[in-house]
Amino acid sequence: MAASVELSSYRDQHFKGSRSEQERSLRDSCTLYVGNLSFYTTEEQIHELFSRCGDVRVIVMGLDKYKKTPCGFCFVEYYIRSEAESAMRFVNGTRLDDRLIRVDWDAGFIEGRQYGRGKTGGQVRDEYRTDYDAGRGGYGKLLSQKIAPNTDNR
Amino acid sequence: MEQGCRKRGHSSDEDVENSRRKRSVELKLATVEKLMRGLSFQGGSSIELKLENLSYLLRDVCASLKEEILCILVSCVEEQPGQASAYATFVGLLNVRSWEFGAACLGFMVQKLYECLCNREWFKCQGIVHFLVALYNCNVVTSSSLLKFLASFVSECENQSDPDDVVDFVLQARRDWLAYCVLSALPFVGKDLQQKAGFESLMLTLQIYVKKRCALHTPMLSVWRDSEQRDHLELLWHQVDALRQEQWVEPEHQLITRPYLAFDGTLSHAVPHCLQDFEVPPHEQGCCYPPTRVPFRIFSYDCENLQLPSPLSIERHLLEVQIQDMLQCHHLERKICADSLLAYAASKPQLSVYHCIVEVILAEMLQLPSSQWITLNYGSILVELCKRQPNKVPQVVHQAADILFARLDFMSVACFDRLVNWLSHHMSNFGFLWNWKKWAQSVSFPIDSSATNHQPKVVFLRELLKKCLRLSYHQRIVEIQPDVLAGVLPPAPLPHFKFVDELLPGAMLSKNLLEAMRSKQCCSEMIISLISGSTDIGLLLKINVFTQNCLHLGSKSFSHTFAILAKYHSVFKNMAAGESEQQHAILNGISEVWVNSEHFRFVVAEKLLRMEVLESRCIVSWIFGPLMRKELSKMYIWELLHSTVRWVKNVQKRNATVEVDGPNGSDYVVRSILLDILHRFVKALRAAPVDQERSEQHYWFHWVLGRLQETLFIYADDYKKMSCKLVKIAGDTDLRGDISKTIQGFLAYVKM
Repeated sequence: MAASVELSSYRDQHFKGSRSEQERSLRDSCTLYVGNLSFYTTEEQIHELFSRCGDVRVIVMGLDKYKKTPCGFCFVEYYIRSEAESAMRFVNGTRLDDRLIRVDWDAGFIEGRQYGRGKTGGQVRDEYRTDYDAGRGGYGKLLSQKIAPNTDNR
Repeated sequence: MEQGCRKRGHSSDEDVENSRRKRSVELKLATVEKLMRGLSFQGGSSIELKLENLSYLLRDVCASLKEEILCILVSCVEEQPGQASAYATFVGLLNVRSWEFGAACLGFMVQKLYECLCNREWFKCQGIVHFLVALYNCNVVTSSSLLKFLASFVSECENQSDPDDVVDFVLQARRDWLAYCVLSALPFVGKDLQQKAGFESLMLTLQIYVKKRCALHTPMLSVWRDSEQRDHLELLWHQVDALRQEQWVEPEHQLITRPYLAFDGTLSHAVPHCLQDFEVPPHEQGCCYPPTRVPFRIFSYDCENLQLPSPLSIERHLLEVQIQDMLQCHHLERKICADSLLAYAASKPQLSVYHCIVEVILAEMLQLPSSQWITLNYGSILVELCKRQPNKVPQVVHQAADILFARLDFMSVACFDRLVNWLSHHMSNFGFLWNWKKWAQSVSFPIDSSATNHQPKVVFLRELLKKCLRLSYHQRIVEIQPDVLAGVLPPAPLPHFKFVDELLPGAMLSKNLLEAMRSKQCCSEMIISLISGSTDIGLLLKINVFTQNCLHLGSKSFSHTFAILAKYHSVFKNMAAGESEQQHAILNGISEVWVNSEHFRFVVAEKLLRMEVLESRCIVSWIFGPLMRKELSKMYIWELLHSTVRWVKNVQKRNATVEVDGPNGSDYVVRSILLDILHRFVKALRAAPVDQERSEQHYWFHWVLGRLQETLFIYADDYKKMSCKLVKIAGDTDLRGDISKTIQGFLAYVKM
């Protein structure tokens, strides 16, 4: 079993720099990406949970590009690397707001990254989902457009 | 040319052959390592079978891979003191085949032990000592040389009188550790060694040592206030002594695995070695030894139906130590940790091992003076255990929590926050499902939030629900709890902006400020001129109004609040720099807007400290000020206090790396804030009227006194350096007995 503080296989495709530079910054980082949050989970809840691993420097909530509402992810930055490691070990895969949340290393927040990268403004994963997830706006965006009732009056 | 080619071709053939051989050795070594590490895993096939496989695999490579095997062996032995027998049997079997291997192993291990002692790796040392002792059972070492080794290990305990009759507590900690190391190894070999020359005198040395040593620290480190607890060495002595009185007869549950018994015939062919003479490296100035511990139990109070060995029997010790070792080894990987704990429980179906696991984890978490790891570490392992064994573990966790709740009146306040933090997190991972009704009903008086109720159970329920609320949302908490708890239900965490009432003094300024702040062009200068332009109210009210306005506008989230605080940073600095009263006005403004959210109150104050708007000394004086007296029984106040001290320490640490530490250096700043806190504690406690038991005043006094103890514990290393000042404070003749007793108890503890 890989140690829980190891880098996962995910790499941000928008990272400016080489793959090895990216991995270096991930290994030195104090910033975490937190995913699979409910759209309703607040910054305060995240603050409370992650503070249990150490002093949190900043939380940046992920927002829908157009609606500017939370879209189910955030970045959490600590002052100290070892405290971020604790979060990787003890928070990743545990519950917040009844959901198993995902915690992963992040190379550091850059302005603009707080927005969803999907076409409809949210996260890409919420476009293609086929399951119903009440905490993340119901069905995936593409599917819900298909099954939406016809409101065309013509 | 041609020849050269051929030559090269030839050598490359050889290279291929070499690298193939190398690879096969590596592969073999990897298998050996896997199997060796597997000896300590309590699952899968029987230990005897594992040993047979391993010894078959090594039948012809034992000599060539000697060094590699010894390196793996030492790391296994260091990590798993409880598995000493298994590894000793492994070495015993190799020793039968190769006496040289046995000799090399002993030399190597003794060398490693010496190195670990010099490097102060106490846990590892203990593992090696246990292993060496277990080698006697496997016919690898002689009884006389082993007894000599053990006697030399505890020789310092023999003449323990320190010069001038003053107990040197560092040396006592050292002797305690040496004695513990030997004492904990005796159950492995007591039965066979008891008749041997030298054993009785070893026991006598230990007995006299334990009896004569100073144990003043024990009450201070006891989690339960109502029952007498023994510290870990004293307890172990009693457990081992009980075993001795039974002539070391193997206890019924056979918690020490003795795999060598199955290989008795084979092992008897070996010629045992003499363990070389050993001397423990002498004490060095500044060396720290493992801190003393006072074990704490949950189930001994209510375990009628449990299959757990009595707390005074060696079996309880063996069971607990196994679990502690697994935690020690795997605590950072909660899934592996849970797997190995559950495998262990499954291997002992005749015992209530799940209870013991939960008890050990909670006891480690609530350990005084402080736990080894963060609370969430223990919590995450418990969550994992519950998830993996949902039919067994959750019930035990509930049972343990019930007992802790029932005994809250007697629990040390210094572990209160850890309990609340753990349980709120645990509940949040399991949908807040809990038998709330049962707890509410066990509180025998009406729970009412309007009364200042400082009874431990009420405070606990109130703080627990607040913490649950922080991890969740108001409606959810309303839904989970029964009406009987309505009195302790935290309010919805909404902001309150009082200046909507235009008749209030300051409302005019507030209105003007709001208007200005809402416009896009607003800047700090405009705000400052607006504030100084309003002449009808005093400065403190102005600050209050401005603070409340900011918080009102940023009330949507922490980020919104932080953004607005950052925007008007210079206004805050301008109004409050250097002045306690002004900074208190800011803090009071925060409390007013966030009257219904202690979470916001804490986080906003913490933020303003980090932005250097508030000074640490002003936060401290505010916390102990007259307005906050009632708040001292709430958790958030202490969160703020400790966050403040932590911040000061971190800033000083950062500065210390740049500057040279002088008399006014980092230590001085930290010490002066800690001393200030201590003085304020004493002042607040002293001012409290003495009241009869079970009165509100009495409860308040005990809460705050407990918080004093907690504070001393958290910064034990710093307060230790100020012992003289503490002695002076505790020696004040006007001081109430309880207060000086707490400080004196701490002084007795830090000398360790």
